[in-house]
Amino acid sequence: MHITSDPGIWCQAICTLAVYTYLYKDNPIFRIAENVFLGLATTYWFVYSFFNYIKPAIVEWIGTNGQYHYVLAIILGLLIFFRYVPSLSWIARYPMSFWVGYGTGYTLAFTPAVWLNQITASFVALNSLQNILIFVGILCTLVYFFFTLAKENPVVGGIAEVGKWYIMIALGSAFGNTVLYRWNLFLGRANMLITQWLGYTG
Amino acid sequence: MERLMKIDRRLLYLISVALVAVTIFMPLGLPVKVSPLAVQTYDAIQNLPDNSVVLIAPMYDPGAAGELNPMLKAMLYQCMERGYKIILGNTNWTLGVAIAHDMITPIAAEFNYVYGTDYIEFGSKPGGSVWMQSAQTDLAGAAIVDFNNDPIGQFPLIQAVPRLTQEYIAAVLVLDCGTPGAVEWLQIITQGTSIKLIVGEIQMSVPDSMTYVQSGQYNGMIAGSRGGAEYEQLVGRPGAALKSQDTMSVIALMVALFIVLGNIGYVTRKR
Repeated sequence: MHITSDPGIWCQAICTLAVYTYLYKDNPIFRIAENVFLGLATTYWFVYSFFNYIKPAIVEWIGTNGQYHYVLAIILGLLIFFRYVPSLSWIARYPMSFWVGYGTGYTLAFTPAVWLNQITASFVALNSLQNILIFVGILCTLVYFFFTLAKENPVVGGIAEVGKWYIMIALGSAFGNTVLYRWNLFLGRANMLITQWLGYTG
Repeated sequence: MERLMKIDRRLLYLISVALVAVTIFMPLGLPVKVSPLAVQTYDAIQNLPDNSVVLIAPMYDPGAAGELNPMLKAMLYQCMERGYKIILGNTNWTLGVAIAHDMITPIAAEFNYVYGTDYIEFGSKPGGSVWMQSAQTDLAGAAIVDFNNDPIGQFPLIQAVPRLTQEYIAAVLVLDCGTPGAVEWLQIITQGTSIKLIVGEIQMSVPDSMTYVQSGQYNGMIAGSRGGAEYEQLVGRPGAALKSQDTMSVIALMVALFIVLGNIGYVTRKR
């Protein structure tokens, strides 16, 4: 083992350990690490956006290329800051409504194509156990969500019950994967501490 | 049983940490069988036409690096061994490109890849789906500058790929851990085109993403850390994902044991 002298790795290791102190209980070391992270992330995002997007757009597009219509977009964006002027805060609704309008249009334009393909893909040939399970699962789960059908009817109720089991199995699978993912996160940090910080190479 | 239900959670954390440490220091070498999905993913990349241009989007941050870094590394090796030209960058995941930069630089040097001609990094651009739409019509205009803040339009690779359309790129390889992610690349860039979409997915999102694989919208998926280990074997570059499988297996057993014990305690107390 050879402990690193790289200050960057030391910084990572100290911050990682500081965050994990929360597992014992909430404490000032964890709070410091949390606030340092938030501050760094916010600043990094601001500086990165400014130098990689805002500044080149203004200098290149408007300044050099003379695409002055982008000034309108900048003005629209700046209107959002009227939120800080209570008497004129209504003006901030214009960029928001523009954004909501774009979002709605985007969803209507791009999302159905993705869903429709998935719906089409659910029409499978019943020639294997997997396909039969998919077919039964889709049918029963849909019945479960038909709240207008009387579940007291033994046929409908039975099919809905099977649908409920499918949902529970799916949720269980999602939960299991989430737990494993969290462990993977920890493993990533543990690997960093052991291999990069403590220098274990074995 | 009462005592079982009152175990201090910190003791469980301690046991977990000890198990992780033990498996790192003393690997068990458990076998990792390659699944058909991993083979499908490997083949989808391997069978792209020679001299293809692929876009690799590391859409993640350090939080997901433990799982996605090994996948990215193996993808880079496979693409460079096949001689594909690589456009590397993302939208909205600023730290993902920094991680990827540290990874691609030594691998590119190993394969004598020339920056700007064989591969290029356009960095991370704000905008998400909006940016993707812009890049679909004018990549240089949407990216403006590269990772090093140099004007990107001057590089031969970007001049050869003016737009992110099927005429210019063969595949989009997304390392995915949230929004915007693989679904946005599907919606904007690959849906309805011949561009292959291959996804490296975090374990948590595997059940959701499996529907896209089943529908053929994803041409391949590396499913979590286990998938990463299988993919590393196929690429012939065993790495961090394969090493982590011992720990993940032990952890899975431990969690299952805790759940069983917890339920025994719960049922016993109920009676």
